[in-house]
Amino acid sequence: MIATGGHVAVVVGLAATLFAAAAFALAARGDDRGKAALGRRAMIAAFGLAALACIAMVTLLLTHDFSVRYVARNNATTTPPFYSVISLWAALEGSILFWTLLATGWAALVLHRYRDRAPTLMPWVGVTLALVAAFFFAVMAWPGDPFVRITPVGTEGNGPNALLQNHPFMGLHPPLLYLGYTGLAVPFAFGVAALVTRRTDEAWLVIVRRWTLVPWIFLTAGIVAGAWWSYAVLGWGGYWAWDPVENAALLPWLTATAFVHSSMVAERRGALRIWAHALVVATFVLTLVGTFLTRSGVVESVHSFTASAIGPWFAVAIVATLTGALVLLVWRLPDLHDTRPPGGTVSREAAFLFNNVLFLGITFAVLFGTLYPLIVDATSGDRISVGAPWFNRVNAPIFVALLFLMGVGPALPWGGARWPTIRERFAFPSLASAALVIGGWAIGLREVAPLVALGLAAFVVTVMGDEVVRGAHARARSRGEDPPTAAWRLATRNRRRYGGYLVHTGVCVMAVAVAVSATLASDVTATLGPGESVRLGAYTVSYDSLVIEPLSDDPRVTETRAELTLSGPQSGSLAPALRDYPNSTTPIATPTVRTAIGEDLYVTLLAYDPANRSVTLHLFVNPLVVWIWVGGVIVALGAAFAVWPEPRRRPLPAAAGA
Amino acid sequence: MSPAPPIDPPVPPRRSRWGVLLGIGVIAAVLAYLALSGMSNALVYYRTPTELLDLGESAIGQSVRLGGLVKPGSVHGPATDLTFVLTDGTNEVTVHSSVAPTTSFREGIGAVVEGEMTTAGVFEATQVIVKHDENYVAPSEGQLPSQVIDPGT
Amino acid sequence: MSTRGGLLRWVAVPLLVVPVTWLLFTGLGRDPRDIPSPLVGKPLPAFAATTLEGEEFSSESLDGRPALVNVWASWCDPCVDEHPLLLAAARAYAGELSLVGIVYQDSPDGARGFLARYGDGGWPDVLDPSGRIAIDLGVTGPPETFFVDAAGIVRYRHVGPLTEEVLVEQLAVLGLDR
Repeated sequence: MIATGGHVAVVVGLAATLFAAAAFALAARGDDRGKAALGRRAMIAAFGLAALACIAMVTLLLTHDFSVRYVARNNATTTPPFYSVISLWAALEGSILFWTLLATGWAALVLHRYRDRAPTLMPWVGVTLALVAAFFFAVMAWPGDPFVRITPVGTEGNGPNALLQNHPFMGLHPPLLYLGYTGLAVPFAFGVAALVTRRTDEAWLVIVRRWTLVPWIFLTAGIVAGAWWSYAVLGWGGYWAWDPVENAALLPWLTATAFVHSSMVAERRGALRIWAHALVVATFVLTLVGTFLTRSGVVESVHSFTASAIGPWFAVAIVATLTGALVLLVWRLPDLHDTRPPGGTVSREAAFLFNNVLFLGITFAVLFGTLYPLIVDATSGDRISVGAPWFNRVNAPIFVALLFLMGVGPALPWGGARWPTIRERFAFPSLASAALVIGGWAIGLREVAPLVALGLAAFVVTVMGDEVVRGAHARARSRGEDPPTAAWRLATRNRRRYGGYLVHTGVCVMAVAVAVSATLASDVTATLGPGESVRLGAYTVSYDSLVIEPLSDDPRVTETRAELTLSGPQSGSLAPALRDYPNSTTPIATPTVRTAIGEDLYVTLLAYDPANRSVTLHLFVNPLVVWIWVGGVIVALGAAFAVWPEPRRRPLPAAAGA
Repeated sequence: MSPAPPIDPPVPPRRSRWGVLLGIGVIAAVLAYLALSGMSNALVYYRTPTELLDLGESAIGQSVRLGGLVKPGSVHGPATDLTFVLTDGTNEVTVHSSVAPTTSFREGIGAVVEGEMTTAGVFEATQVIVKHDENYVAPSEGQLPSQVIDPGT
Repeated sequence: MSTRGGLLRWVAVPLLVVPVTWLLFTGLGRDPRDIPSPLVGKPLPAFAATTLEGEEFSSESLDGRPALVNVWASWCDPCVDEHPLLLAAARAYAGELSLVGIVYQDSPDGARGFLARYGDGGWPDVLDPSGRIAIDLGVTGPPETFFVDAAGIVRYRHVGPLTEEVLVEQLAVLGLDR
């Protein structure tokens, strides 16, 4: 009954989105406000229908209705309610349903907010968003139906994927990621609308600014949360492995980040407009490619994916979107010439351009590395994978260059810089940077990566700090405010700029943390009998006892726990465990992480021998890892600061001055 | 929105696209060099014991993921100095590993070892991955590194 | 970078679209797990084991009729997908086709639960606790299905869940087409 209702909601949702697309198309032709309103209501209805379908699915999961295949496969009677709810996005069909909910939500929100504005652009924005939503509804109506029934109905289901019920982060990471993915359809829709209507001036960029940054925040947070989850759950001591699945999330993030930068130039200086358009298209296509790669079984990862019938649907959608958008872009190319002369080689425009080139470089490299196994298989038949060292080797220099630009760019004037300016702006930061590198060397740091990261981070932060201090100082003097007030007012009067600085600071923190943790981590593997101990660095871990017992909140799961005593800079007890889930032949590791400001002690139980009670432990000392998460939070906060709505106040006098 | 604090008097636009284009060219060249020169060493080949043995000498030193089943009765030694035989039903390869596999490693189970063939004819593994389920329905949330069941990198 | 490329600029469209299309669709046609079996064209390795019902089963009893040897486990989701196809094949070719299941890395209770949940076609399912049968067959993981002809020769090995297409096509090779 509920399942039928869910299915009906999906089918009606498909009809509503198609109706909306048609209404918007007619509205665009006839400049007809009434039809646009009709389309808007249909999209809001589609959002409501997607919500109903999601509620239906969550109800089915919570009531363990195993007559629905999705529930039978991803739920069991013993599944705790929290994991039942989040199972909505734990597997293929459910995740598409959830995806549709978010996509229609974004669409309804943007169409509602702009119901009375941008009357030329909005119908085409509506057409694009409605077609995107229609595609997802259609996938659910045919190959990826989440409400398929099975007979005979069992009394027990498979239970959720063991990895997904092992950590509450699964409730956070996918929604963040999906909010990012789906939200990036909005800038794409505006880009398309601007091209179709030949309104390729700054108007669409001004609107899209916030609608890009907000999904970007979610995507960033989603990726960082994913890395965090991987670190906390998977027990291999790391957080990023250049796995195809991770790359799929990173690719649209890279192009979206490039777009955030080039759109500023396009908006302020009328330059890099082709880039802005190409990047919104690329971002959206890459979100589809990511879904395709991770859901169709095309790319081999040790965790292979089930081959699925939605693959061809996504392939067709990708090719159609790419072709349509490219034709549109090439057709309108003559409209997209820069309206002002280009800046010099050492100008802020050039810095932005290089930023875009570098981001595109990483995008190509990551895409190439991810798809290379496909190319090799198709041409030579060899089955290969591209290892993480390749990705590190290619991307590390680009990240270094980006970090450098991050310091240089904001301090360069538009148009071009004269030598005295350059000297004045960069002398102190260069000295600070050199001092830090030499200091690092002096305390015994010999690895290249941390030294480079540290030097560049110092450079970037001092350039920005210098400018904030100078600006606040000037303001304090001219308006008679005390310095902190002046600094705060300065920042809130130009949220985008200073929010951006905060984002850059967060990136610097992450860069140093990544460089240090990647090169200076140490680890040891040891097999211990009861009473024995192992040392790693300043830590001593001694093994007390082995406990094997069912989990209290899900008795079908057996936990094998090594009770350990830790002494050293931190002390206390540790209990890394392996959990055996009935639907997984491999036990799931639950590592214990002891986090301190300077370093994490990370202990995984690799194996145990019940006969002689011996355990094999893997210990890691991972320096500065916690700062990766802190940096991620700073990035998100900075971007949130940048998009925070300005209080409604008197119109800015000559606000557009650059 | 407000004027960007550092402002120079506008420099007359030198027709200096060349500087920018040169920069882009250099970036592209460096990137291409890094990408292509590092490629052959970074590739990991998936092979079965039969395929690996067919390659003979030429397989020595190549990064390989070797998949097969752990032959019953072939597992010897402690977890950190382990020897066992991987078989695909037709051919078999002796594997030595100094990294401990996970608990689910046992005789008869499917396993993938990553490492390389040595001149001694023994496959030296740097990773032993127990291959639980070829057709595992992947969690679709988006983040699953290949080291999911990696005993140590 | 030039915006005044004239007609030449249209070259960009096929230049990008064609390789992407090629890549996506070859990708789709490709199964990363499709490893040619050395068994094809050779006799099915003989095996004898205990079934879920506790009876002794020998592969010799398959002789004389085409057979499907299906490797599965209760924890394997795609096995659920292909199960109805196996049930249908067993019904459609009752008396002409033998089926035998090999329970891979699974507990007898788990396997029985699977059959209770998704339907028991009545064919023997043998247990393989040591993995010896799987090794002889060169199984890489469930589900995997071997198509064996009446003479006991392996004619085809399918990795991953069966599809109706593969099943119909390969049964036809074994001489079963209706």
